[in-house]
Amino acid sequence: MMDQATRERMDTLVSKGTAYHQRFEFIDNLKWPDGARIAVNFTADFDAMLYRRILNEPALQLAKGEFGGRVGIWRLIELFDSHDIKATIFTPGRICELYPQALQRAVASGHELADHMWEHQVPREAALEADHLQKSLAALSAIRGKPISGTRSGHTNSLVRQCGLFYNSHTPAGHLPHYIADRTGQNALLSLPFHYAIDDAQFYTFGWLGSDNPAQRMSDPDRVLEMWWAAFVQQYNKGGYLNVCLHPYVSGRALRIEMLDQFIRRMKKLPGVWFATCEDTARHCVTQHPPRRLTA
Amino acid sequence: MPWKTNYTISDEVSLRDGEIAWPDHNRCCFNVVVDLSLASGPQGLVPSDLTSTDAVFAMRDGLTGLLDVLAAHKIAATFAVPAAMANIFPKAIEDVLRRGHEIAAEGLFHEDVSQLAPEDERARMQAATDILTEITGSRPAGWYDLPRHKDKFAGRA
Repeated sequence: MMDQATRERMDTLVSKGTAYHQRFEFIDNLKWPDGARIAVNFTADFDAMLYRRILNEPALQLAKGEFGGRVGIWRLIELFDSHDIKATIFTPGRICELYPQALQRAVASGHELADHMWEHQVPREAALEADHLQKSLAALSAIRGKPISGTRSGHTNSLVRQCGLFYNSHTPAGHLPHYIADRTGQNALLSLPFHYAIDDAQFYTFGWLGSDNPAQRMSDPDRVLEMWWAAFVQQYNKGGYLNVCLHPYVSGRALRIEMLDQFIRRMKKLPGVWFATCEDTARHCVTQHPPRRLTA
Repeated sequence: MPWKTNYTISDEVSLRDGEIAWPDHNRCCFNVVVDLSLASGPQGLVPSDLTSTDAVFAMRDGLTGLLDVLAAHKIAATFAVPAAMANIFPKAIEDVLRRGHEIAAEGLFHEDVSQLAPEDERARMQAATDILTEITGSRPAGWYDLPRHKDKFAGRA
């Protein structure tokens, strides 16, 4: 028999665990436009080391990020344009002050600008959090010339919805797009899932400040290509979704741009691959597959 | 073997190669064991281990993917399940059983019992066995538990 404390521990686990998992709603029989087998979202997190600046890291670390703003973002835009792929650039608001020309070029090419937090962090205090998101959206929509639709952040669902956004691409709860309600069980928001295994920074980040030698990652791009290809093929065969998370300061390096070019060429050889922005993918989901159990 | 106290960690006896014969003259026995739990510290599962999007992935798409690939290869696996997980996810346990796999016990909370008093450990084994027997309909035959005391890779302490 369990003693009182053990029984209470079990009851707490069951009630909290059950309640959390009920905040998720998955889409049954998800169908893509025009009978596509898979939707592929190329996304770039254009943070250019803003967070490292906030952490007051030394100049060399900041310089790595600035390469992304000066060179990497341009190379990614040119790569996507050469394949006529529309990507989503998740951009912190302050990047609009630092690299406006790159963002204008992205917009001119038809890429989506979406929020990635004003300064790459979400303040805990509610009023400040709202101020950050509103500033970021104002800066981004001024460059875009139209409203922003989504975010990649831990911003709270209610605020995100109040600001007119209808998706978040920040968490890995499933392979396919799904809905997540907040703690109150309300304000369900579409989630376009990504996973760290399909994130360039997990394979190519070298010398993260304070990390020890085994934490250094400098992967062979061919190896990363084969891993990402396997993820694509599994979802393609099942009918699914792939969200590729890139960072201009990481994937903007020449050898990795070349690897991405090969990755895209391989995918394009197969029929039924829908290369879409997160915005178009999310709009399809919320209009064709709205939540049934959760409330928005 | 009292002289072994604090010297080796168990009284296990191993068979050498060639000393075992498998049914039907099979040359090799291959077990797939799935740890149907979530990353936790030595104290076992706490609410924050369950309330993450990784946990949602694990218990839905992750589990489904494993069940499908095992079915494709006609492999019956052993799922090591903490009693708490069976209480929280009875539907997952039902799926695992329906597809022909074994449920073994993995503690009451996936806790490290090596630092518990023997009577506490006994009570937890009994409670875990009772819970799993009730949910699965049969008494678990196996017990999975790793001593992780002082293991810095064991997750949240």
